[in-house]
Amino acid sequence: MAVGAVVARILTQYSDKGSKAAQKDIAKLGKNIDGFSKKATKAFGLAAAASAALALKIGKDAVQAAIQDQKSQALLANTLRNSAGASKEAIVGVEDYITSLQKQFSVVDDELRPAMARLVGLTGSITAAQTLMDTALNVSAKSGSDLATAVNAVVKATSGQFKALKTLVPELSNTTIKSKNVAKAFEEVNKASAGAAATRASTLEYRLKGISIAYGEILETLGYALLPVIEKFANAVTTKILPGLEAWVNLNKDKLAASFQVAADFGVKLLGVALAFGEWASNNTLLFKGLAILIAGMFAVGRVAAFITAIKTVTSAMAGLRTTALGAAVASAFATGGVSAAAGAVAVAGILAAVGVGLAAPGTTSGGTGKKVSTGKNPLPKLGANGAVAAAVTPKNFTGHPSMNAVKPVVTAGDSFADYLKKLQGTLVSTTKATKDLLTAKQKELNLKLKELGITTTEQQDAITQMAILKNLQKQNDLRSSTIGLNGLTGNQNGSTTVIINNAGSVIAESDLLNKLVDGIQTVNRRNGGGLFNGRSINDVAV
Amino acid sequence: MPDDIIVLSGIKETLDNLKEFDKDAVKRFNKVINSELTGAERSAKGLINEEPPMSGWSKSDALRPRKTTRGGAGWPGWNAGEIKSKITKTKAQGKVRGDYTTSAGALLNKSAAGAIFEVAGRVASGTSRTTAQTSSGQFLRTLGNRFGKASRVVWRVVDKDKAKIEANVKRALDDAKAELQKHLNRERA
Repeated sequence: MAVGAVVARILTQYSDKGSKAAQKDIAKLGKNIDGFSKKATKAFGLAAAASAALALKIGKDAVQAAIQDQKSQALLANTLRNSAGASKEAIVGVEDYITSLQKQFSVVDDELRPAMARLVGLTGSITAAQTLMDTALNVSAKSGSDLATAVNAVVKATSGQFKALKTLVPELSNTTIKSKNVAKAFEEVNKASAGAAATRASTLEYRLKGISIAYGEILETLGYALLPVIEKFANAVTTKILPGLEAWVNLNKDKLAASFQVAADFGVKLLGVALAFGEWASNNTLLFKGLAILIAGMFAVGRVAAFITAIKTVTSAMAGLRTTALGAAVASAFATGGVSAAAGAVAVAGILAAVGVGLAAPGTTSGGTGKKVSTGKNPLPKLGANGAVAAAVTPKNFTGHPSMNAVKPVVTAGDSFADYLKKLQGTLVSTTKATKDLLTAKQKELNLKLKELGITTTEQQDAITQMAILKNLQKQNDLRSSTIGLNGLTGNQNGSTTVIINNAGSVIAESDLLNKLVDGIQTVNRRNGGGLFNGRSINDVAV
Repeated sequence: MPDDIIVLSGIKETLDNLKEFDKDAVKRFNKVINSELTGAERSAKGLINEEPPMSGWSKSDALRPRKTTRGGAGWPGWNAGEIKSKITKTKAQGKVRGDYTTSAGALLNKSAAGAIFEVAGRVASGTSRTTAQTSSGQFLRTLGNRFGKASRVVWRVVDKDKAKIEANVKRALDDAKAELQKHLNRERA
């Protein structure tokens, strides 16, 4: 056809040229999609774990969305019944109307329902409310404001207050406003904003929003499918778990309170120990220095059996304390903090604070000590009530324990920390058997109660878990029954640096230990082709 | 221009197949199209006067054209013979549009003077007619007063006769299709 000419087409015919190109493009797109799906499959395989996590998140989001949607629907239905006397069918019709608006104008139903409820409340008529809703949607789209603002302006305008509506729709004439003619005002507003909501919905932004809304709807649908499961679970917790727990707590509340009282008393005593230990440490700086050099030397050379034995001695003492200490915070502080007086003091302060607030948060201080209660197989204890279960169960094991009265070592003036530990260990050994017997009986009683609640105990666990627990208990028993005990670590208040360790009946002096160390180091260095300390003395091995 | 257009489909396929059975039928169809387009062409040529639209419009091209006019080519002379000869019909397919349609028959106005006469003063959508008191403004006003609004030659004919031409061609195409179907049925039998 001529170029540059004026062309006036008379006859028009269909051409498949363009459609063939389109088909080709579609085929190409199909191949690309196939390729993408293959890659996506691989990626999905690699990210299966992540997908599972995502699925969990989607499930959670879905349930939350469904819960919100259900709440929103219920509120609107209530308003429709109360204000407009709407029947069940009418409520369903309004829901359909909301859904159609959502799809048509890409406005979420969570915004539409409150707006509809307000307009129905104002007019008392679903039809009138729908008319005003259309106006509000157009005003919202035209002015760029949210739907709630537009509805607010419309509601005010129905009572002759046009200021808000005039702000959103400047086309509303001042003459009409002065005349207070509501019908004419709405006529002008409708004329000025007609089709604005539809136009806005056709924009890219709102089409994307529409996709987002559609995804939200899918989530809600999924959530509605999951809701019955959640409801069943909640019912089980409400009707079975919580009443049982409440009854148990009511039955044992006096004993629980007594347990915490004992714990508080012991905490006060531990605070005294911590303070005494701090004083002792400051009076024995030379001994500390010697220990520091010893420890540094051990770690510089490697693993030395004697040092490990010494550590065992300290650990054993700490294990004794941990068993005696009722609060988990105190026990963990000693176990993890070792001889840290500061950690002990903080732990004591923690337990005092917990008791001081009237047992308000027992789970935070004793939750970690409930090792006899297994929650591995039963999901129910993972609920919020779990903390209460663990908190309530653990102290009960010690309630009324005679050893609690026996453990009252007296700190006298001039006693060292080691002296105190020695006294304490003596007391503990005498009460160990009684403690064990009582614990076993109480544990059996408790297990029966837990079984009634549907909680699995260690006795009911599989063989592998039981074997692991048994080994762990044996290990702890070994530590506790070590003959080194507290006798292994004694201090001389005269400032002497002598450290005597009683290991299974043998007596090792500090000099013997150091000689053994030096021998070990020399052996290592000889094997490595070097001399003694490679020109350094043991004192050069700094911390 | 009429709002509704008739999109003919299967012209080429029908004629290609019909050619094997009945060449006369093909000729009859082509005759209808050619006849309609020729009539339109003749009508368009009839709108071209021998005398220029305005007295100042020279019958010959400018000897010393302004460099700023038509890229240095100057204002084209009003040569009625050339203008008429360059008003032609065509059955060539043009560019396929986005709606998968193309031309099956059109009128062309290919001369420069004819094109100016055709479209001078056409108002693009969204703009308004010029009211400038300049020579160009006066030219457009005078042209409009004497010959009416833009679309003065081929488009005027198309606007006037398009519906009739389309209907005639469609009827001819339907006849051709029916003829082809008849032959195909006979062939199958």
